[in-house]
Amino acid sequence: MTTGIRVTRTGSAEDDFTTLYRSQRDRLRRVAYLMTGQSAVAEEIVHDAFLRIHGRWDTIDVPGAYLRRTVVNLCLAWRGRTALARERTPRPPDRVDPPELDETWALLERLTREQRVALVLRYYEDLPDGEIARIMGCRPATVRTRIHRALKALREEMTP
Amino acid sequence: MSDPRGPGDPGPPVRPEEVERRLRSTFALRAEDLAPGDRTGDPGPGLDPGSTASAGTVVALPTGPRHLPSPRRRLALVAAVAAVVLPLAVAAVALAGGDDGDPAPLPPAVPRPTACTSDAPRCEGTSTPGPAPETTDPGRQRGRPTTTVTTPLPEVATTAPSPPEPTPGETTTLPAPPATTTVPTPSTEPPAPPTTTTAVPPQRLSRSGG
Repeated sequence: MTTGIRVTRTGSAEDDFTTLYRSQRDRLRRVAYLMTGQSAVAEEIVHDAFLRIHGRWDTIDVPGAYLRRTVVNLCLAWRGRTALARERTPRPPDRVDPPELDETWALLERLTREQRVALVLRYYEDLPDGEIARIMGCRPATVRTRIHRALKALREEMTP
Repeated sequence: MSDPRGPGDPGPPVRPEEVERRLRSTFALRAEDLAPGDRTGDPGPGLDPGSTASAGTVVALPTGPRHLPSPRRRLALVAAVAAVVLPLAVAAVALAGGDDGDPAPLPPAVPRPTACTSDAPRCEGTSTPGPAPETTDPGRQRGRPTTTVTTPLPEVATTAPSPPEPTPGETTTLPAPPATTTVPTPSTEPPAPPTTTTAVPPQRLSRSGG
């Protein structure tokens, strides 16, 4: 899952940016959706991240990593700004999911933003603790603590 | 055979591996909620060639030269707009005049004592509402330090309204300052006439002199 994030520059700036956009946009949109719980917000965050990286394109060595970190930071900031939006997480359209998955999705709303982001990076992106720590700007021990507490909270609330 | 748990017993907690499994499944399933080609509101750099969702959406973009109005027509349009906007702007200025430091002088609230030319004592009496013109003084509204005129010397107010009116008999009003004898208001006795002449009327003196 992390193959596309290693995008670096190869040609002209516009070509590289277009390549990065086409290869990373949908993927980052999904990540942002899992972190925020809202597709429209995820869309906005990803575009915002691309706009930011476009403005600093000449100063970024590894645009892919920078982009993902920007998306994570925006997700953290967004959830911090609009806590009320947590209550309005949309249900998946026209699909019947197993009840335990619906329950898990609902329980994710009760976690802190850092815990949810760490879970997404771990269980969706399959990133190691060190990489998660680098993206989130904290220590690996902090990542482990967040994931441990998140799993514990979910486990206590989940129905067997 | 029968469930060993009671009706209110939540049962054993979910195993950690089960929590992780549910998380992975949930993330994988929810991530599919977003169609890969969902480009609604996409302001990004160009469409993805692999996009299928937006393939059927064709947006007709304007092409070719824009139809701009000719200079004459543009001028007529501007004139028409100005004809509508300018009266409204003038009316708005007239309505809002003087409220926010508008230097435009307001009409006097007290009739000018033109009769003072013939009857000085009555003039003084009628001019006792002298402070009123000062309230309408635009200079005061703009914050000029004319308060020194009103507070220390009330009589200044009595004579103040008359000077602005350049009536022909104004030269006769000059002796009016002795109006200290008229004393229409209780506060007019003490003030010394010289102060009135010095404070009020540079113009009046000049007029009388000229």
